[in-house]
Amino acid sequence: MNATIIGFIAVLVLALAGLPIGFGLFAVGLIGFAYVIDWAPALAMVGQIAWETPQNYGFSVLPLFILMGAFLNQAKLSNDLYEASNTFLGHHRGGLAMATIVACGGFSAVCGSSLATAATMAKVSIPSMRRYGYADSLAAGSVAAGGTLGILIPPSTVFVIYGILTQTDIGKLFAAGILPGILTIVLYCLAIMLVVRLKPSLGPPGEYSRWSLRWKALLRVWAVVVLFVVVIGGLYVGAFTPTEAAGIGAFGSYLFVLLRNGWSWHGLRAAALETARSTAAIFVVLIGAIVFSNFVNVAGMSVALGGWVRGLDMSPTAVLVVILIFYVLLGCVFESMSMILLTIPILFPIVQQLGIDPIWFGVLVVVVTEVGLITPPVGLNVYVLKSVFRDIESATIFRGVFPFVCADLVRIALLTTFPAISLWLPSFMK
Amino acid sequence: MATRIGGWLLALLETLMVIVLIVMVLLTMADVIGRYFMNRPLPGTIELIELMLGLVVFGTLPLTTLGQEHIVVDILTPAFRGWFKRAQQTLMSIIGAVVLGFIGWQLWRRGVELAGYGDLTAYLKLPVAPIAFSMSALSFLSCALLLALSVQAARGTLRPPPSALEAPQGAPGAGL
Repeated sequence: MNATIIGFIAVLVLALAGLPIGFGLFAVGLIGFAYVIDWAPALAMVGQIAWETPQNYGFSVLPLFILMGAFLNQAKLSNDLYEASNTFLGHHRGGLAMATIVACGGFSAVCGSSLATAATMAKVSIPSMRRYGYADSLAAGSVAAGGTLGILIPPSTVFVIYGILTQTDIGKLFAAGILPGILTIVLYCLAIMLVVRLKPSLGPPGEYSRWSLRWKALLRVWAVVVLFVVVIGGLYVGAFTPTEAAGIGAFGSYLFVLLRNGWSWHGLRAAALETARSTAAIFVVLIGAIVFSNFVNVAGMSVALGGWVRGLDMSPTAVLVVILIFYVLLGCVFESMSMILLTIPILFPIVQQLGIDPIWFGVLVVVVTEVGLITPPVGLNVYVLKSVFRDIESATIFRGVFPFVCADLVRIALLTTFPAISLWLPSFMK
Repeated sequence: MATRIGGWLLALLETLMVIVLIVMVLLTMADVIGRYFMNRPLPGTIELIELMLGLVVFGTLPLTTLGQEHIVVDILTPAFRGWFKRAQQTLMSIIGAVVLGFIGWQLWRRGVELAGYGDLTAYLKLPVAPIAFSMSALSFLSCALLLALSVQAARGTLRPPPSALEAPQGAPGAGL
């Protein structure tokens, strides 16, 4: 138990000192395992993990879904999505910001990454909001918040990792993310309506679009609909495995790129290379985290923690609330992927013992890690925006994000109180 | 000269990774089409996908390492200055290189072991040991690159990494 706590502190210190997270987890996990057991088995263990992890069929979903997002990004799909939602919502007060949220939701339905969603939508929606005299805080805040939908609405790289670590059905996790995703869109739009009601100057109304224009704009986003129905729908009805669904998604989105931009080796190469780089970076953390969690297991952390939690005699809900608060705090330091890799192997056994549904827990964990993406001091989505628009201060974005964080608290409360929001759709799956 | 050959090799590695990924997509498609429309799934697809995933991960490792694109927590580091920054960068690069060295060493041992058994993959009967040896070699290459970066860091000539913020699309974490 003590060894684990020292290990955790070492991981945190090394991470803050600037050592890549995966390397830190690996080094501490190796040394810790050797300390608890011995060097020879520790070395054999890391060799085994470095050999098997990158050859796990389940993980092949990751590069394929990342590739799908990279292709669609090249097709400039974000423009069409924003245009379409804008024609419907733009003429309301705060409408362009609401359109941003809806378009982010649409982009999330074909992209599994929050950072990519935020970065892509920022380039499209912020210039337009500025043109209509929106305050930078509201404009940037809505993109940063809307971006978090990326990992909640399927496909989602974080759900893939969670599913493999906990042996939970990835298709069910994806299905579980859909209704909470829609709930988020509604709550975020309500937050915007409230903000512009209190301070109308933040988001003046845009132009009204006639219905003929609306239909035309809507038709242009057919690719998103087709891809979502085929990929996520196929997964939902059990026609494909997750890897197959992701492969089809990547192939289909490339056909769409061909249709839009024509053939280009340069474009194909850029998208694939970007995917390979993201994949390698994720796997370094993945391998490190598995080594570390093996150390934690032999040190008896999960058992000790589980015994301690049982000794507290708290209700499962109370434990769940404590775990969620812990995640929000941890989210201040780590980004979502590292956080989930680090904590799930330790916390999941406890959650299971308490009889908490693994799918429901997965949705809650993803939602609370999303809050970490937009809150200081790390708030990755905020920094991504700042890199696209250097003239917007971080403080302005964090101010703009505030109403959405409030909406997030409402959302977490709703999802915790009504598990059915997450569990209803997956309940129809075999 | 050495840098030119190095750059050429890395470009070759990049292209190889691109091709592997494309083949991965096509293979999955062919498997699904074969199963649904011709009632005959492609044999050995799972094995090949697994091997290719391993290849993509370790093949891209040198590129990710050289580009300093590993996922880091950058709350404190941007505030570091002067000799402290140099010391920090050098030390962290060396620790990273040691980790990569360990990975390379253990994969090599595994390769020797597998070669001893003459292990083949279950379905396609491909020899497994060469894969372990290649993964090991790529880890050692990454280790060497990181050591080179640590020398640069000690001299104070290390270029700052193209942070995840500069190019969100190409950077690690873009997939998160």
